[in-house]
Amino acid sequence: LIVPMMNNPHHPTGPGSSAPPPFPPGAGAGGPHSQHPQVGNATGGVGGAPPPNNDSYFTETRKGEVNELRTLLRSFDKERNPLRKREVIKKVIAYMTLGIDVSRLFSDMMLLVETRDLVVKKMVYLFLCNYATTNPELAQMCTNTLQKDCSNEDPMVRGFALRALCSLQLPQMVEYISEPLRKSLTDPHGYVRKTGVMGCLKLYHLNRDFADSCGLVDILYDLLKDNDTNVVTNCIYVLNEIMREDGGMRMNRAIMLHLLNRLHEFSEFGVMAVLDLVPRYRVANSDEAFAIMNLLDPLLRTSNSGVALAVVRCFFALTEQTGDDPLVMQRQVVDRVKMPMITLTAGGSAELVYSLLKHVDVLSQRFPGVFDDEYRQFYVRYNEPTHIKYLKVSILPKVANANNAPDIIGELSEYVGDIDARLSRLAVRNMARIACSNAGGDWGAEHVVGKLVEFLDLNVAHVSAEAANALKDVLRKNPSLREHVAPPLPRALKYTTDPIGKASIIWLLGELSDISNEAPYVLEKLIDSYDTISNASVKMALLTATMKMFFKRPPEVQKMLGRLLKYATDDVSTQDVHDRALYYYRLLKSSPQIAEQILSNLSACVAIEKTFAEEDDSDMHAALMNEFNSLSIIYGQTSENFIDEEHRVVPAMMAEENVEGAAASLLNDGPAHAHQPSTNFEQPHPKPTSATNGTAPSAAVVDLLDFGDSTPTPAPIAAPSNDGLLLNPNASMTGEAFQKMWGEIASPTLTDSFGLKNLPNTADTEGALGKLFLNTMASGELPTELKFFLYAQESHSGSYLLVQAVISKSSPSFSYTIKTNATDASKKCNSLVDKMKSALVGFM
Amino acid sequence: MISNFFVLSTRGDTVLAKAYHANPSSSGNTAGTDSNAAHERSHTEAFFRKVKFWTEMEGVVNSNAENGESSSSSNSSMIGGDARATKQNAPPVFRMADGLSYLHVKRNGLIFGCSTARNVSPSFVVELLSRIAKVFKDYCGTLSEEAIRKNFILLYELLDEMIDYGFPQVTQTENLKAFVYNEPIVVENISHTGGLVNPKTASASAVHKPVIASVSADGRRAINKNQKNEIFVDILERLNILFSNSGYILNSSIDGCIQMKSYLAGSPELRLALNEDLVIGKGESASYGAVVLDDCNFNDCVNLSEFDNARTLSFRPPDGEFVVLNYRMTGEFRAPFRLFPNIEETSATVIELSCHVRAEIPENHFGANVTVEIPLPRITAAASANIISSPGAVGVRYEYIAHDQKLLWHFKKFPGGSEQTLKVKITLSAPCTSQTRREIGPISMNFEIPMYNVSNLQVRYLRIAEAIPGYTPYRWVRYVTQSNSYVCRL
Repeated sequence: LIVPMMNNPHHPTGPGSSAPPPFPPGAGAGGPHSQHPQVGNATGGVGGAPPPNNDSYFTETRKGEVNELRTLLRSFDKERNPLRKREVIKKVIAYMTLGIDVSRLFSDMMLLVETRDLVVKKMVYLFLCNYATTNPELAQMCTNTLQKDCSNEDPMVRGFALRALCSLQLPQMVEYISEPLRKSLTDPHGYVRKTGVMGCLKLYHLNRDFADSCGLVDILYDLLKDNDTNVVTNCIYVLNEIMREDGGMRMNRAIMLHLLNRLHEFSEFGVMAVLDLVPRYRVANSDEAFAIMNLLDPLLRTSNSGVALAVVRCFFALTEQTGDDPLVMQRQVVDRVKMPMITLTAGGSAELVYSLLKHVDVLSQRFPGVFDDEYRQFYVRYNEPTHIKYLKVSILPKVANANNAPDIIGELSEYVGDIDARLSRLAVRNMARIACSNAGGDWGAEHVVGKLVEFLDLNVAHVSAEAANALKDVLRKNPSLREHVAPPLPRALKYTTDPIGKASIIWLLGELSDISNEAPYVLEKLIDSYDTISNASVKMALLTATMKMFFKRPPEVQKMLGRLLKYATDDVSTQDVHDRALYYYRLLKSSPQIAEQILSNLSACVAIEKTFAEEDDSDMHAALMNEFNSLSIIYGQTSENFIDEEHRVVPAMMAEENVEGAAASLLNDGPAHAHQPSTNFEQPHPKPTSATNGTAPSAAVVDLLDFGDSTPTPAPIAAPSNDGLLLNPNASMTGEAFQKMWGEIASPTLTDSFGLKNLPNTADTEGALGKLFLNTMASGELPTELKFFLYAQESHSGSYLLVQAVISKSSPSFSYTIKTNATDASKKCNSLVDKMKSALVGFM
Repeated sequence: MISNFFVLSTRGDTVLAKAYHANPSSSGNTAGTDSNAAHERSHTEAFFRKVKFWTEMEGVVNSNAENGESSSSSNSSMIGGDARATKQNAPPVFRMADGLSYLHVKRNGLIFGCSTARNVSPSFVVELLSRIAKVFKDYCGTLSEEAIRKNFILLYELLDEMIDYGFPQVTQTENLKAFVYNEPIVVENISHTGGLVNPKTASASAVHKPVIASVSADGRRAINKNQKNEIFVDILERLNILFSNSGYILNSSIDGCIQMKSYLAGSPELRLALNEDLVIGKGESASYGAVVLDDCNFNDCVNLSEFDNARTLSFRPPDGEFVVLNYRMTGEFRAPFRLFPNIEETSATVIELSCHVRAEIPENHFGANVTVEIPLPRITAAASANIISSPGAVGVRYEYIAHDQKLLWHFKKFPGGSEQTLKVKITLSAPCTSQTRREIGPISMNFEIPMYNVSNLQVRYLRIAEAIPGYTPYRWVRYVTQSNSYVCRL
């Protein structure tokens, strides 16, 4: 049957409507008339204690209402109707939401926490968490209740109480939190464990050292194997957060494969958390990279754009590790993800579309050509929000090629007539981009210039200005098109009011004065009305253009140039113009030849094959690709430009030594890290997991990913590995047998030692070795050294390897003596040593 | 992950807010939350102002170095001038002066927003916000300011379960049931959200309104009344068509989805079969008459093992409204309405515009609530129209809105196979120029065609995977075609 959505046992299904409305008319919830006092009070009143001398009318009113609530709360002793009770508390919470300070009710509210009505309890928790920091002493008083609730028989209550307890954010509470927190992590109910894991992070933020001393990190690593994926997801969040400064959670191959293998069990947001780890994962070989990509490929069919983009990000990262040319591979990736991404834009809400299109924008620049055939998807729709329209218009030139350019140019020129002036400006600008990038070939550029000239003549201020500006750029790229541009310029100058447009037209006139007969006379008019020009950039353009024109048509221009230089040197409104005029004047005076050289260089055209320097942002795009699926793509900046240093995360690749258990890579590792997880992931787990023993998950991973036998597997796993030493995970031996065997084998097979950086304690050493199935027979601590007697059983032959190990305390080192009766003894001993080193890598 | 979450009303009031201290500064400061709270509040206010009066302030991209610094100031004033002409929409992601990134989604005029200090995945956060809005709607029945205010305790409960310390937790409607103890207070009908709502956003969400109005999206009530086992299935197609002035189709696509709302007890596994000859991928070979989709994507709960062979989906329907599958089609299809506009300048200050609309759908179908919108030049002094209706059309009228300079032509019912004509006489306050001509159009059309779909995608059957004796679910399957961007250029 349908689970009823409200299953509160204490509540008889009574008419909820009989209760008074939660908002009294004066509370500011109802009508707009009460807004102003509300805002005023919010800013004034939130500051902790009630403002003492603020005698404004509204504050008084509030005070009255809060007092009224207090009276009501105090009358609860007699109140038997749970519904009435709830309504009053609701009102308190309502005030809190509105920003009215109800912290004065704290003690009254706290009295209510002891209740069996979960609705009331949760409301009180909510209130408590909100005001705990302002009333720490009072809050501390209810920790008892909270702690008690943490051991309630109802897992929901345990969870709620734990969450509230951890959310109080009171430093002095740390010690009260740790015990319930620790208990919660082994709670039989997933909800409590999940809440506990998040509580670990709260504790960590509250008191880092204390959290470290609790050894939370190790527990969290264990919980990555939890069979409740919500717990696992939270573990990932928390570990990532705790190890943020090191670039995120440290992982190894076993962890990654375990998570990937269970991916289908996670919720969408859990999936995203796991996928977030993949780019930092170092694959063992290229086959594994492809295997993971195949595993993730079906996720591209999801309707959740967050998941889809996370998969794309994983693909990019993995292709970098395949050994092939990443750009070629990534191009294939983009080809693969193109359709899913466009489908998501078709079905999604405007907000999601915006994010997706921003990603398409970057991809279309990084991998030109891939999105070209879908150019119609970027046509603007009339009912879209403007930010999407603008974005689409700027994508269109990036997907233009010789085939579709006519369509795209036609489409863009339609937008020029749009009533949204910004859209029409952008359309003009992006048409020019097609011409500049030469995407549409020579025909395209010529076509664009034709259109732009048409717009110049359109007599719409903003369109003409933008067209003039665009033409300037296009001409610099394609000087051969100058003939098309000259005729309308004198006309356009008259009706262009926009300064940038005007400056551009003047520039064009100066440039084209050899083919535009009227040019000097149009400028002359401007020069003679120099006083009326207010914009410095127009003046500047006028100066330069007249100079250029002077060298092309000296007899006509000489006089006006003289006048202009005089006006400009007398101009005190702008230093730049004044200086420039003076400079030209002196230049001409000293050497007209040099002046001509300099001036003609100013108009040098950008060679066809080059792009404008400011548009050459391929480095930027490469950098952005590394931050794919993040805000960087939205802002078009890498994260260091907009994220505060303390919140920046520089993702760190998985440590190389964690790729596989191979000893070779473990020997030369760096300094041990405080949070170094135990290298192998397998260890006995307190709770039943899907796996029967520690090795199973990894073994299953290998099968499910279809790696085949060629892939090296993590060393501790019972599979044929090249060193040929497989240990029986369930080996057992009696002390007598050990002693007997030790005595029987006369000469040790191998005796050596290796150095340690840190001194491990007995339990750590035993635990670490035990995970690799090297069991401890006996151990002891002496004043100067730790001593261990260890044994392991080879799974195939059943023969034993015995180890006597000593860790010296004065200069930490691990000395060992190995005895075995196995065949091929020395080889097996060597691989056993490798195992021991890998187990103790945390201390090396 | 996220630092705070808030819901703002259309007027900018905070309806719901929750701060997460997930990003404490590394110095471990615990400087009083009161100042934090004040900070939050003033920043949500600043945020709202920014969303409401958004202007794109970034300078002209190619302002070149030659123009020097002075150009940047003139740029912004220039762009600012543009902004007055048309209202710009704020993008869903932007950064504010406090250094935080604010992300938001708009639903029914309400703003669901959050801020973050981290370099998060924008899609992740936007999906999360959308999910919160959906869950709120599922639990309240409707999503409106009133519904949220009435149910805010319930929603706080839900929010606490969905986000803990800034990280998403349980986000599925059905999984949340176990944690929630409050009862929803049902708000009758969708309350009017006031004239301040952007009409575009409102109608866009109206598209996703549950199809059967009688259920009024009121899941809770239905369960209380021991409602029968029902499942509602919608095959919803939104059309994007762009016509040239000669009636030629320049661009066309269908954004379709199969949407469900399930009230089946115990959510049994369902099997949904689509056309057997359904082809996915434009390049694939298809038999004549087969439905060819460009691409599609699926809800997480859908099992696709039988999709490639038998075009059958199996899934356990989650509670509330959900989209089983989204699809996209750009291939050939028949436009349900065709527009044939014509403009004539009869004198210097008078323009005559005629518009024929032909419904190319079978006669037993009809377009409902059809509106044709014709933007008129800014210098329009007056406009009057003459309607020539063919029989069968119901509720035909026109409306000249002087304030926005546009003319609307409404039909309550536009019968299939018929042709309707509108002749408009536009009187200008100044002589007509080429710019004036440009300002007319493009003509856009809004409509809904019940029980008709353009793509021909069909639900062959919807059944419960394992027959349970005595379990008789009611299945309601509906086809709806709607306009999304249906535009004719002039």
